[in-house]
Amino acid sequence: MRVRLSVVLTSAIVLGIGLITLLGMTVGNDFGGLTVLVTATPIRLLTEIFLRLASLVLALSVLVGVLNLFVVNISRVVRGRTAGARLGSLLIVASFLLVVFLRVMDSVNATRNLAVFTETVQVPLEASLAGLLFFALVWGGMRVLRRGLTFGRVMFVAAMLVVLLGALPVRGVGLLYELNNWLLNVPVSAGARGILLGVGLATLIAGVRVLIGQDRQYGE
Amino acid sequence: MDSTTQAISFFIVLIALVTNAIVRRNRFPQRDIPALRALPAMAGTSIETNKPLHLSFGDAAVGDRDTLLALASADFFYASARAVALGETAPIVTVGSATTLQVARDMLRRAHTTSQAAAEFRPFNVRWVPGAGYALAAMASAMTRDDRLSGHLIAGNYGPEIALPLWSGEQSGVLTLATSTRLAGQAVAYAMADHTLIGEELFAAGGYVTDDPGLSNRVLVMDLARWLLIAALFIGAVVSFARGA
Repeated sequence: MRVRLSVVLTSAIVLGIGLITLLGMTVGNDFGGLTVLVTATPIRLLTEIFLRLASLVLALSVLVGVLNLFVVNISRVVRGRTAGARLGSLLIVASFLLVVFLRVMDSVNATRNLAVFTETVQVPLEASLAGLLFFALVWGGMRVLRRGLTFGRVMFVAAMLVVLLGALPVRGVGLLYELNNWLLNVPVSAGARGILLGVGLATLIAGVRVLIGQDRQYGE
Repeated sequence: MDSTTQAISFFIVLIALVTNAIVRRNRFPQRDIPALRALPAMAGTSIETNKPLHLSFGDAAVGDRDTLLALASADFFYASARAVALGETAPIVTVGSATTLQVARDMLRRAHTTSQAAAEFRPFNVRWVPGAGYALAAMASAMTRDDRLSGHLIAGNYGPEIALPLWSGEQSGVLTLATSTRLAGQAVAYAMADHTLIGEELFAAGGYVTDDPGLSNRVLVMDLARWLLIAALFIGAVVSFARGA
């Protein structure tokens, strides 16, 4: 069986750093032999160094991101598939340069033009997107059964209707109000916890498998 | 971290190690995930129409609590990008966090290299959309027509704003497959996407769409650990009920 040196090397680095950091972060003062191991060796110091290095790398990745943003949109202005793509990227590049210019002017003149720009452009834009979202959700709710009649979709629409009708501030819907409360407190709550537990468990297992070298998304 | 949390953490890690060892020695059948049956059709549409497939990591960021979500999404997208890399139009990947940019770029590079299409790899097909959330959803939404997409594969931790790209996808008649680890995003994806992965299915997806035995084992470990957790919850409930009685 051929084993590539790069895979062995990267696996050894990932496993070593991962296990040292795990021990340094989780082992407390009442874990018997593990506590002795952690306190007698420089594991905690190494953990701290690894965490600082990680923070530094993460901070530098923002610079890489800014470069990516700029180059991607410049190339899209030139070679975009449609006029919309070219115009959109041109606006992004122009906004980027404008924000940099405003930031520099603010620091030189002690003004707050960037804050005003954010308040008058970005916040209203996001608010209008949130408004648009309402229509998208209504559209989605309307079309959910057009994709095919399944038990899950019928339940989804029925539950949605009960919740919406139960929330109406009118008299004479007491039964619906009770049903709405039961629905939210029992099956919806149980389902939501089930999904979150599933995601949590899957995250944990994926993490453990990376730490013990079973999953290797690196070194290829 | 207090001692109870530490003890529970070690217990869970132990369960994960034990189930991993059990699965390595035995072969178990994988359960069916219907949404994943749509992937070959989505890749085929991208190749036949010469339009790019959009893969979105959402806000998942390497370095915070979503690190493993980003890695699981990368496994899933790797298989999808590999299938599409056989065509002439490379997929477009969007990320909401600059720290995920390198993971996404490496994923796309590996997909092209293993498909013998390294020359088709375009590093700037991986795009960072700062601000994430609404900004990323709006960008993905605009890309549907601007970049003439063939479909959206959306994963990550979107909130209700996931409706925007799904809505534009429906308006443009492109196929969509979506999932979110946030409940609001998951509910919207279920209502609006053509195909939906629910909860931990994203973490299992890599095992279904690749021939990597390691990833297939991960699915089985997850299933086994889940049954152990269900058993533990059930026993806990019975013991608690018995004590009360």
